[in-house]
Amino acid sequence: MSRTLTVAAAQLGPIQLAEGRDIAVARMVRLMERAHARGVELVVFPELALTTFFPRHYHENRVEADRWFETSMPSNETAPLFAAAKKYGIGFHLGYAERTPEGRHFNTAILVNPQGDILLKYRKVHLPGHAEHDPRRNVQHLEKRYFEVGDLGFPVIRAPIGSLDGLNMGMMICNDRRWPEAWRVLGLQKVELVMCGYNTPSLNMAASGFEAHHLRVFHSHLSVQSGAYQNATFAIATAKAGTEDGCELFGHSIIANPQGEIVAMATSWDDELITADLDLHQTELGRSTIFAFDKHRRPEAYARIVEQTGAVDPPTWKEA
Amino acid sequence: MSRILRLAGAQMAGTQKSDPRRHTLHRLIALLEQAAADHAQMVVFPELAFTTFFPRWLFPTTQELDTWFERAMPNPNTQPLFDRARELNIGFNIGYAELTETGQRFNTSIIVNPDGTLLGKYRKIHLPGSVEPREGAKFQQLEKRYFEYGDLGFPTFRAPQFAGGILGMLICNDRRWPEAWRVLALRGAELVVIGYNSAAYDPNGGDSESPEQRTEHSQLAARANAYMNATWAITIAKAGNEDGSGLIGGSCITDPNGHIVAETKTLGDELITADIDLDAGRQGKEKMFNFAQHRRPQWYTPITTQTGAESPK
Repeated sequence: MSRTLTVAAAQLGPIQLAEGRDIAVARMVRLMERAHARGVELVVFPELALTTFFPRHYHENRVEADRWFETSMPSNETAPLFAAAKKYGIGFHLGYAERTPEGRHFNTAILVNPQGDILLKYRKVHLPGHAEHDPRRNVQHLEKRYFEVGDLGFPVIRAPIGSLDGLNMGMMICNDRRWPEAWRVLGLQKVELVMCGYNTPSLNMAASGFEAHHLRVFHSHLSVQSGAYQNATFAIATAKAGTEDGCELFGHSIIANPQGEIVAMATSWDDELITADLDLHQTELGRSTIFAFDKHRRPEAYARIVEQTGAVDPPTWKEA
Repeated sequence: MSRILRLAGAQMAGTQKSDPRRHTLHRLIALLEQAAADHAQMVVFPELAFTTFFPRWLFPTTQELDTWFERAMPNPNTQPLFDRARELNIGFNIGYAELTETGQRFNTSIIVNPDGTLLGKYRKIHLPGSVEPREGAKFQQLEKRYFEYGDLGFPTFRAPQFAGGILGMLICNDRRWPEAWRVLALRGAELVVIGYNSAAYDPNGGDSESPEQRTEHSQLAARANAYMNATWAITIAKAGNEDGSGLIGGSCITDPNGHIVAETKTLGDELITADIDLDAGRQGKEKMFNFAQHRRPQWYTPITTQTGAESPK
């Protein structure tokens, strides 16, 4: 029996500081219309897709940053997106800044079916950057200031999507894609499709050390391709791209298959839709052979991964 | 600041089942001499470098199996390699099948210092293949039958004779397991040395994956894990044809950004060399992959509490 799903990465161009959510939502609705025209069943939007990437802006008083957060989902402002999903029968993945009723803050992504049900929520675990203003940096990266570390782990849900009776779907957000632990915890739940939105600067903004410019896109692709291969899963990585208030983010969103191959890639750093037909049977070779975890993993040798956070020095060799 | 190590990798062509050990040893020594002539401080040989990849065959008796194993290292069959390395003041890494005094069998890798002392030993943890032969298969993959799982964990060694670098070892299939790399990186690894014998056909023995795709996977694993652990990696193949069974090449030296800086072009005996700066990983270790700042082990629990995959809700 064939198990095929038509998916899209809906890359967004920049959202400026002064632009309201209505502008971003209208652009996403247009991308969803185009996705419908191409027979897409599931669309993946980027991380923090409703606003500019606000963690680059420092607020001494953190409460001032609350204007970037959503207190409900859907909301009046995001309702058109949910309506378009329903109209076209398309599921979607959306990243946004979440403020809970208790006043907690997370960098969040949700997976929504065409009926508007939230199938799965994920809160970003690997927050990059720093918590305090860093005068050495060219641009601030204050995710550790504005967000708590996600408290939902790395969940996977099996749910009907498009024409499929069930698909095992998981999410990660931006920097998570560079952490093989995140991929593996999803892989241990038989994930078949990983969705990941990102906002990643096209240059290293730390203003220290050297990182060649071309490495930025390469590292993003390398992380996604290897995560997909090593866990025998499909992956969709969708950028918010382009220049936001003078700060450039790279695009080149991709869809990768369980062989680690890129099957579709955006070439602009703007609003762009890329699509692919995923044959879910392609996950089977890897997970029944090389990556048959039950046969080949050796958790007794992995203790340091959970017992240790930072790296420790080994002993220095001395002649026996 | 930089700490430069001149590193060589000695890819080998296939070694046939009937090849005399002396013949294979001479090939190893020739590659070693070539590396020394390039002024390399260390040369990396493949997994199970002294013999053919014997786990593709079923040996009914222990007696036959034993002929592929080393009861001591060095031993009279391998001593000339050790002697020549010491004469030339070059260190090396080599893989072999180890039979211990107590009768345990491991797929083992050692790093020998330029002065001939042993820097460290690793025994392969991720054994692929099966215990029982695959019915009807032309070639077997019986590592799970012939070897025990390595019992030394994933150790690293700070190596005074190799520019003070922190070295770790993996063997073949280990390189596809990010857990293995991560444990090495959590112990500071700056260079991971890996030998392999990897089939040029898909894991079911069929043709659903081409040799090119298999090579791509090998390099993807090395590049991604080098990047995500901010370490150098050297991955060295036994390549080409062994008794009709194809092995991929694609041996390479990869920098901590995941870029290949040297790569073999053939499936034969071939040496690659690079000057590697062991400090090149510092940018990654201090920023993107500053583990102390950014890792979240509280959410990694299933990695150690679970072996196989379990269905989601």
